[in-house]
Amino acid sequence: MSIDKHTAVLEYLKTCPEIAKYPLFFNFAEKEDNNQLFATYADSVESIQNYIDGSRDMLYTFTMIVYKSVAYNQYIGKITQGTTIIDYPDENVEEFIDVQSIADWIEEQNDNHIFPDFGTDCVISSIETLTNKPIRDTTSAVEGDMQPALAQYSLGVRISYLDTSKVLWNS
Amino acid sequence: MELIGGNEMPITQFNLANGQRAERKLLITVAEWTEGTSQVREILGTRTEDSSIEYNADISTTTDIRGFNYTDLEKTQPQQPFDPFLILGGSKLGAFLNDIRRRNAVSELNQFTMYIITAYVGTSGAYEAEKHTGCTITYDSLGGDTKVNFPITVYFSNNSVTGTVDKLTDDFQFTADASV
Repeated sequence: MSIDKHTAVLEYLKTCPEIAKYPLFFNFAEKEDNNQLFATYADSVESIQNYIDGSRDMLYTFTMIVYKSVAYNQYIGKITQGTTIIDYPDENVEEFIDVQSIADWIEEQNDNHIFPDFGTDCVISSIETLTNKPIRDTTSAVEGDMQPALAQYSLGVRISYLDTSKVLWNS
Repeated sequence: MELIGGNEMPITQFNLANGQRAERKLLITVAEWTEGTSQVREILGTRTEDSSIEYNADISTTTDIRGFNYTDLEKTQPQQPFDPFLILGGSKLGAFLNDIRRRNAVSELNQFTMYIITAYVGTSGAYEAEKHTGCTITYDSLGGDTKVNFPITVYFSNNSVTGTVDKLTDDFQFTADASV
């Protein structure tokens, strides 16, 4: 039986501790601090290899977009206020690491063969991120008009699976 | 229906619309063997992108003094390679062949019955097929890059009967043609 893959992936992502902490939207989201967007594209599902028994290797890809507020604190150097030296934690680094933890979680799930439930007609072989760290979106890296300013991080994710729904033979 | 020399059975036309191409999955090769007292079957070709039955025709051609060629087909030695034939969870044939490989019991490799089912000929409940007994399956190598590949080649015996199968599942019934 085949089931809706978008819902299956959303349910799967809900089990990620970092994702579960903040709002998760599907395809459309307001750009606010900590909002997360699950974005699909026209080529989200594609066939990459057909086999002689009618099965085929398929890819399901999506992008996780995470909005994080931007801080303009210097990483090297101290800020002096009067006689007090303040060592600010670097918010940008901390939030990047938070987003990175989503990629690390996906890698861990893949290593443990914990995959979304695509139904009995699909055998998932892997889930992996397309990059080993989140991408700071260069087209709208910082939404400077927003208060606070927002950074947009994205993480491409690819699920490889064998679709057996077209197989003629019932073993 | 039309009859051709030597064959009293009518030729069955393809069950395809005019111009429709037959999907590859309609040409099915099934292996059958015995484990203990149980008869086991498995379709071949899972995760195989491309596989064809090669007939290896043994041909001799002579040319007479007028320049005309006369070609005799002495025999065919059909075989079908499956590469990749991946080590897959649930593959009964893979496990069976791997056990033979481990014991180097190569004499056990020629005990297969093979079915070639042409699901593009016939109707649901009676797909044309041929049954070859005494076939050999060899394992050709073991290894690969990211996944373990165990490519095999099926050597059909030509000790065959034609008939039909009633369904496209492991528990099909093969019925030999009455006139064979």
